[in-house]
Amino acid sequence: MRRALAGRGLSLTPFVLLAAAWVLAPLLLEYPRYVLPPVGDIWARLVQTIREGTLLRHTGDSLLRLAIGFLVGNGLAIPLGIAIALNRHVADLLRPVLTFLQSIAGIAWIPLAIVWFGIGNGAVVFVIANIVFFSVIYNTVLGVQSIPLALRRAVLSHGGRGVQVFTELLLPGALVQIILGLRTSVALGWRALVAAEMLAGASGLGYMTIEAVQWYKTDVVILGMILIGVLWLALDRLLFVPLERATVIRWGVVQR
Amino acid sequence: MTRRWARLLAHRPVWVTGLLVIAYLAFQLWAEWAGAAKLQAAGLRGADRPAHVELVLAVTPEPFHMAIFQDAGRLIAVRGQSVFLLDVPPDALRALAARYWVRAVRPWAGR
Amino acid sequence: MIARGLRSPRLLESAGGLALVLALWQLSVPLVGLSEYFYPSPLRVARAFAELIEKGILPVYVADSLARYAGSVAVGTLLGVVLGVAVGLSRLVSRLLAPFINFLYAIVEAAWIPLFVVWWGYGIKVIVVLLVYIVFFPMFYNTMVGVRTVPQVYVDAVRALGARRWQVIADVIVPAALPNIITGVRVGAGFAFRGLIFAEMLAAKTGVGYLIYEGVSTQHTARTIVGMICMGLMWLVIDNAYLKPFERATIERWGVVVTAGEKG
Repeated sequence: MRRALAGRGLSLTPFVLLAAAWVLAPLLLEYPRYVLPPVGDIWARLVQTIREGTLLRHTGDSLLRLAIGFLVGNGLAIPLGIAIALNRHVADLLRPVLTFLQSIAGIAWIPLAIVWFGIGNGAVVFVIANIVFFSVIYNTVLGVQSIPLALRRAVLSHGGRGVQVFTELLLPGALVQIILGLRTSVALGWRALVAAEMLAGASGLGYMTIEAVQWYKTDVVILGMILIGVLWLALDRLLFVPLERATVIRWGVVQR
Repeated sequence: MTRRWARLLAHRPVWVTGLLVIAYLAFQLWAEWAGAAKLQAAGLRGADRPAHVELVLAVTPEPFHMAIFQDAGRLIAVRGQSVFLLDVPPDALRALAARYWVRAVRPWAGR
Repeated sequence: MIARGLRSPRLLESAGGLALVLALWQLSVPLVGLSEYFYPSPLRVARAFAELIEKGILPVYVADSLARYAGSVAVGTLLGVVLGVAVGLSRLVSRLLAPFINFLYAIVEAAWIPLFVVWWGYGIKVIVVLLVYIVFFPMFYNTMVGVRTVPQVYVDAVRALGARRWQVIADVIVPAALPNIITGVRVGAGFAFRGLIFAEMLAAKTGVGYLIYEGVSTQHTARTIVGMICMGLMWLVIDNAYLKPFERATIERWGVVVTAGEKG
């Protein structure tokens, strides 16, 4: 019991030290307020933006864009990926191209997205959908192709046709890869969201953070950083840990 | 001894890096030599004090190039593919002449 | 050997896939029917490529990007490994720092940029610090895990033979932790590459990321696409010439690569 508490205390030490340093710094050192605003400022800013409703608006905009981009990206990538992977030759032909496109997916498309959609929602959603699309399609093709050929032949030789092949063979087989890929695509999507909002957004957490720079509102900047991290952690832990526990781990299948 | 080198070079990271380094050095050497030749043709080769020059470019200059010119000397005028600079120190001049998109260097009276 | 390589199926696949995509792209241009600004054709992009090289812009941009990238990755890797070994050797210290590191991991990399810009303004310092940070974390964490999971038997055996502290570290611990270190390099290098491009878009005046942004802001969309292609090619070289061989070498020496506690 004592050991466990000691372990806990040990883990908390860096946080305590950081907090202490932050609180003490303005008392011990001389520096302009914008370099490191006191903790109180950040809390005050948090309360203020909640009360004004701006925080809710920014957060809501960011999450909404993530959701739409995620749905569009996956909605296009999974069927397309399965379709490509069905034909072995097409899959082999396109795989190097997909690898290449995956390496430049997302952030590199921000300026192009600005050309096509202007600054705002369209560009940001496009960038998110882009990165989700390319990483999911690559993983889907890989997932379908990794279904053992013998298994495929077995299903077909037992008279499986059309939709049955799809639901009984392809989907379960590729599903593990797809679900594992969903988690990474949210992580990638969130990062792409933040980057896109900084360059091409008119609202949202990323935009809020970079916009504060020109006014030297460092408290907003730090608040933004913390919220961006906290939100991602929440999404990841609340959505995917239970999902994986209910599906991938329960099925006992760990591919790759 | 050579067996060890051969084994080392067989590793991809090693020979790729080697190739890149060699290519870079070779290019730098060529650029310096070509630059010296351009300065020689202009009679500015052994210059030890700032010179006024006209740079004849192989391309139409862009903001990218303007920034380079402004770092090298005082950019006075741009006429088509020719650029006129005042007070370019010798080492900056050598660096400019070495650029492969600079076709020729000519001394300039400064007017 | 080269002839055999040229005929390899993977090269043919890549060439075939590339040809297919280029053909579709070129054919779609009249169909889409938009101006060069919105939808440049592959030919237009090829011309922009040639123009950028002719004018000496592309080589400088690529060199600048590579220099920033290689330098930052080298520094970040060194710091990460050294600190990772130091911290990993002490179980106490690693238990102390692990949760804190996990916490810092949660902060999205790009989110640091605004703070850095407030402190240092736009410029190279922001980019380099960001990249070193991005590389340092996975390096440090993976090295620390790798060092901590070195089986005590190895250490004891070598100590029993009379090895001194430094020898134990150099000959046993670091090699045993190498698979994890390599994983750290791959993760760090990958994130750092994306970070490089983004940071250049925001805070640089040269570089491939800057080119991608500048193309659009100067109405030369074809140049933006040239930048994107260069980015892909650069990653192709980095991944295939450096990262994958390192990984393959560790697998060859140590069998299966076991990564402990992979972070998402």
